[in-house]
Amino acid sequence: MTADRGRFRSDELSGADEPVVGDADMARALSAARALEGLTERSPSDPGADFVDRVMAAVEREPAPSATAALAVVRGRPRLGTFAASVRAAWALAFAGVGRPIGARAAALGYVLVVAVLGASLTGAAVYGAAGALGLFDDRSPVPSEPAPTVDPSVGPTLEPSVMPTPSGSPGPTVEPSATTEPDKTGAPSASPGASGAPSASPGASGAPTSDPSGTPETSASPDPSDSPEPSDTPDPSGSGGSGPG
Amino acid sequence: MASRDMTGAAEADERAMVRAVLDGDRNAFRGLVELEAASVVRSCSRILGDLHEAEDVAQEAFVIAFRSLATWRGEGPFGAWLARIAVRLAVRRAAARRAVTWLDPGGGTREDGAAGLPAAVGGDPVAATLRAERDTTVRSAVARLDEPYREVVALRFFAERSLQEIADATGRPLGTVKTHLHRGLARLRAALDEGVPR
Repeated sequence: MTADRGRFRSDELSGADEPVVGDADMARALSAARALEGLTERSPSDPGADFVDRVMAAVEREPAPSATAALAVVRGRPRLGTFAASVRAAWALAFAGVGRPIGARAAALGYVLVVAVLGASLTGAAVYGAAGALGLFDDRSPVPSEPAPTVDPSVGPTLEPSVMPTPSGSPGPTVEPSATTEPDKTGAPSASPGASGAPSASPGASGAPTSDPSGTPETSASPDPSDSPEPSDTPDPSGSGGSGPG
Repeated sequence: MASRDMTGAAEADERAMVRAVLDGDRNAFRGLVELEAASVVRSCSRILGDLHEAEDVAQEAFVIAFRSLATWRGEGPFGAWLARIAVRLAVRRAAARRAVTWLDPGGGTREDGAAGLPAAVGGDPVAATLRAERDTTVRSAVARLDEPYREVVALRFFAERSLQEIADATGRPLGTVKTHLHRGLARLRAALDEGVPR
């Protein structure tokens, strides 16, 4: 049954992806081949007369091979390795088993499809569970309250102002600058914030002209509410103003 | 070397027998065993150096082949597919056991040892001992080769399969199989030069 029982020849390696380089390289390959051939000639080889009967007796104890032999392997030894081997074997039978019974190929294809569907389902469930455990769905929970408006594209633009008003909530205090202008008249810049008290932020927003040191940082403080769109972060300025316009 | 026509006819017979087994004719497998028994036992014996152990491994290879007969894709001869199973089992068995060489003082063939000596070489027990040691060294070197070099070398020299048959059985391109054989022989030569540790 063997097609090539002859001694190893150097031309057997011609056409290799990696060509043999030099005579020394080939000589080493030939030397190793001769060592193997010497071993081959000296090894005992003839099987006993009852070998075939022994094999058939062992085969008798096996279930009949069929198209579902791959599944039988899994039934006998349900391990991950045998399961993977069964899927591989079923794939090979389904897509490369040309000339095999159509029933066998169909069964193998069905097995591969079932495994694929189960694998995809388990993977999806695992991903969903992992995302839930990581809180990815919780972070997006405020958004689902908005999607209702997003369904209507025309409503979308109307929602944008709802975000804008939070910074514009500061204009509410801009009414107070009139109070900050008063300190200008008094000429006591330090007293004016003290007099205004809590609304000291409001002068920064509008009444910057006089209170230079306190005003300029407060103008930079006014963007805070805009940075954090949620009014709850900065309750003082935007909490009152943001909720009002919004 | 068998002619291409004979090989093709034999492969057709093998396919017919395999189909018969898959259709429920369990006895058709006997024909396959009778066809391949000598080749499989010979391959295992060359790897293991012991005929009894080789028969055990060959029997196991036949049972595995029977069990997974439906997975044979029919590419190349059935014997090459079977030889691949047998060689893998034999190499695994060789790697698992201790490397012990049993020498028969009488110079005759020992069938109860790990490496039975052939008939006395010219009646010289020293020469027989040296050859047995050399064979054991070569077997150890082959067993220590990395895959896929070990498989290609074993299939080519122990199972006496052509490189095209090996390519069909393993599903690799012929050029790749040739490269694996070349590299395997080069590594084997290097291991023999260095002296393979037992």
